[in-house]
Amino acid sequence: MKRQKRQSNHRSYLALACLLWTALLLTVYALAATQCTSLIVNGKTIDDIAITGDNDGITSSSNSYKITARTKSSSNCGSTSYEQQKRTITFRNDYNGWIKITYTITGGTLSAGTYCTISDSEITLLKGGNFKIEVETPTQQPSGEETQTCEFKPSAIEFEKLTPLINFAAPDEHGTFTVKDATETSVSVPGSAESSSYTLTAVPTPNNQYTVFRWKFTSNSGTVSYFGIQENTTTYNAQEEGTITCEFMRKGSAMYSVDSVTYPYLDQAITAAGSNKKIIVIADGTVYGSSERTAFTIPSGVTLVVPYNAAFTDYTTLPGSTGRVAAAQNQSVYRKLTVPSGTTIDVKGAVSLPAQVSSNNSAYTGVLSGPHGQLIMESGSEMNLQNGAKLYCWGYITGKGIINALNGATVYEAFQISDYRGGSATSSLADAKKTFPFSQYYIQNIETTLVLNYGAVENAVCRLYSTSYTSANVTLPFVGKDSKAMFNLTETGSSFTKSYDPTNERATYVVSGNATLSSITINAGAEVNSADFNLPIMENATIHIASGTTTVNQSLCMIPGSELIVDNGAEIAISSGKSVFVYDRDEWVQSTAANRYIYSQVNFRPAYYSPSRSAKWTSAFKEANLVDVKVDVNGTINVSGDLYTTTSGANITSSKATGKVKLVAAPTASTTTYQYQQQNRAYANISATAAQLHNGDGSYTATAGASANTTYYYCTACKSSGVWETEHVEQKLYNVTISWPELAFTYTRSTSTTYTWDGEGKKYESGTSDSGSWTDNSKNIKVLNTSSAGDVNAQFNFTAQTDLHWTEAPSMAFTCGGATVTAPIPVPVTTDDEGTTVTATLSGTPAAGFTEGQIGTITVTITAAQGG
Amino acid sequence: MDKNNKAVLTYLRLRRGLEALLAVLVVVIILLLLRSCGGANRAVVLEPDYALIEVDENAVPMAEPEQEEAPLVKQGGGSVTISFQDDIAYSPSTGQVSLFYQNPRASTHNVVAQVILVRGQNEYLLAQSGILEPGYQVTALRAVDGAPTVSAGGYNGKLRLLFYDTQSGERAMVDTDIPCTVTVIP
Repeated sequence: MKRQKRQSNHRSYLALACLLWTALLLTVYALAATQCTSLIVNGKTIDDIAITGDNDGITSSSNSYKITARTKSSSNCGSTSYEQQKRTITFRNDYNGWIKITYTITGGTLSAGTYCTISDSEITLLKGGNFKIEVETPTQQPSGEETQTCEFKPSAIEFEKLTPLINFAAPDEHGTFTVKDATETSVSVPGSAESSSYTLTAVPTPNNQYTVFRWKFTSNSGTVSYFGIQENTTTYNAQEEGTITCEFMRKGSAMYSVDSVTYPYLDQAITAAGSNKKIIVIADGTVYGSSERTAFTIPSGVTLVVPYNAAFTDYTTLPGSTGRVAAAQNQSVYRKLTVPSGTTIDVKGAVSLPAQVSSNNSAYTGVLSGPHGQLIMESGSEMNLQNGAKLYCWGYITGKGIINALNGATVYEAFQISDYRGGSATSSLADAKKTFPFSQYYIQNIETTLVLNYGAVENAVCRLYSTSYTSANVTLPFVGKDSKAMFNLTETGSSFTKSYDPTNERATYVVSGNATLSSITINAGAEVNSADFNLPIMENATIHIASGTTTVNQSLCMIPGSELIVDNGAEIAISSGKSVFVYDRDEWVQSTAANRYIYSQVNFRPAYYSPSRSAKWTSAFKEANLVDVKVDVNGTINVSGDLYTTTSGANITSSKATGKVKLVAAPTASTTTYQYQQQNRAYANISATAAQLHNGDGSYTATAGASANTTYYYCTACKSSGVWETEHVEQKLYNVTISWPELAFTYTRSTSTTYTWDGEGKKYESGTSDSGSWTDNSKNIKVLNTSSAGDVNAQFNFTAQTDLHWTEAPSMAFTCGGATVTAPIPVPVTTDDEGTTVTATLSGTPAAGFTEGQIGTITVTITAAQGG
Repeated sequence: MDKNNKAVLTYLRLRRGLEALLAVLVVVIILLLLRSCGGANRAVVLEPDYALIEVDENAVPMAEPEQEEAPLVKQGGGSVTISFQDDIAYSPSTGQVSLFYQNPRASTHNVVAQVILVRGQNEYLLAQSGILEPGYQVTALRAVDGAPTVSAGGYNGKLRLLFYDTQSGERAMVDTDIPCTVTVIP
């Protein structure tokens, strides 16, 4: 029993000893694998040279370093094969200075790495430099085990600490920096020093606006390298003689990449892009320029890309597609570029905000999917798309800046459909009922005001999938020149201004100058010519005819919530054979789901997503916003075709009481229009009559039965609340803008102490009763007369209540039409032309010792000149 | 009748006469005072230095382009755009004053509109709006209590516009008078 126990103990000790031995071997092996063997020169181990590589077969002794490569053998089914072996050892200088090694080598290959030069007998290593030795068995397939030994023999080694002469140059702009050498001694900037290392600390000016972009070293041979990227404090180990300076950048600046080189300023990136490269925004931020420039031009051939992924995938005339995938709430901003107020970007090349859209064969299709780029145009910023310029906006452009698309520019935006019925259903709708295949669509990737001037083009693009047709890419010419687009500008100087307010989700289209609204043909799973249908005007759309005549050559269906505004002097003409249906809420909003007109049995489907909304996927547009269509006519509606309102009457009114509705042809008394109920697979009959015009008291004036060439006027003289009448007393509308400057007086005492209004209230402190005089005692008041009431002029009479204690009679000097008239107040000024600006200057010296008061009320009397 | 009785009679007559004269004077003074008070009400037009007036109940949003925005002005300065018609109607039977006045979004200030009848140097307040914020218009006002009694016909009047800072409510240094015709309709 005892013997058995002893044997058991022996076995345990033996197992433990084996385990420890194995662990020791592994440790030694691991250490050897990383450390290899030290270099020993003249009996001294050189610790400043780090050696890495394959440890096996290395022996090291004083002035000798042997590396052996041995073919590797392996057995398979009784036969042995041999594999060629290569061994590489790397030597790196970790000394803060130079190392020079005198050597010989046999049997191997010596090659220089970075910061290293090798001659027949000497190796020179700069700090951090390295070289390597390679030993390899013969290249022929060895028939038996072979070895190749290399002996590297360092006979002498020299060290020289680095203290090259470094110049420190003051930065070109926006700050300086401080320098301390290796002994913590300060070095002047500009100045120079000889030290092995330096601590550099940037001092931006002003500190709250600028920060370090990078530190720049230029060797005396002209080689430029950068270090300490965006590090306010950094260290520099001197390697060679040269010059160091610091480059600053605006805090918050975006970063751009051109050919993988980073730039903090757009003008620098543009210069680097030459004439055919892409400028990729690689870090969120604001557009700034070097030397505080605020105007930039993107040349022809160059594209500024605000990317949506790390691969910088770009899309031009078509957005990317996820394929047939249902829309999901997965939208996010990947990269954000802000154009600040006062900045102008002229584009001769392209600006691209790539993104992907998801498409489905029903409901939401062509809507953004996943991440996107966002360009934020702050109020007061401007982008001008010149002739030939392209704007590919599959992401979003937001903010209150302005984009001007000039003649020859092209803009692309996503055409998002939110009630797509699918290709089969779409093709089955094409019949005499004139119900458009879908009525819920959005073109609002560009939320910022976009002015499309005559000659500019906007294309709205949708990528559709359907059951019958695998896919269809629909390009809708939304705005164009002369013809072929939905909105066509037809005269030089005309413009189409598109904007989107994310707060109330309203899209506004302002037409200035002559234009047409025409039919378009699109392929949405089936070819659809809008001329065969009543084109729906979306519930969140306001069409504003500001001037000129817009001719409607396409029948329209105005969905409740939509608006048509016709300014005084402007006209909208409904062509013969075309109809405009103005819906009352009562004929659109259905309480029973099956009776609703929008796909999936709803009364409307809002836009899917906007980065400007606080809740990106929750619409602010509610069913309550589906109010009676408002047609606000302050100019003229000229009806050669038909203007209908649905049974309950809608809201054709005139907010400025200057509207006219001219019936060129005798109106059709009543008709039936249709909407499609998807669930019932049936058309709903909707009764409509010749337009009922909405009076101020809520009643309606019917136009049914009127004879041709009848004109209805909105008259407030006939009835104070306003009524549509065929008899009319025309009233004139005046429009005047008066502006006046800030009230910031400065009072200078005789002791030369200056007191400035503190911005609180209207007190002008003199502090004491010392005498003195007011400075800045003139005020400019401008009056701009833009009255559109025919040729009527206005006369302005200024009266100032002089409750200020003047020492002399104050006077006013007027500038009107280039002539200056000085007169005591009051004085009349007549504007001869519409739009004349009158400038008045009030002059005078307040009494000494005046302590409190105001300049007095200036009354501008506006009088219509008679007989104008 | 003796001399004493005669003197007493003369005294009593004189006293009655003086009392009657005093009574007439009192009546005249009271009448003058009443007239003076009533007239003052009509001749003085309120122009508040700070607008504590509430937003006008008849103010409705204007239909105008979304991009229409007020210009940036320094503190103390301002810019107002005035859209108006100079024909105003007043119906004493309903108390409604019909006018057309807009304060577009391009304005930096709130507006209070007063409709005033002018007779010689006197001004008679007929109606006063509440606060009209930028972007709002008004087409009807209620006549003020104590409005002058008028008969059908045309009257000279003025539309006085007072401008108030939208934040502090402080009245601006500039106001505007617009001579207009007030038509009183039966």
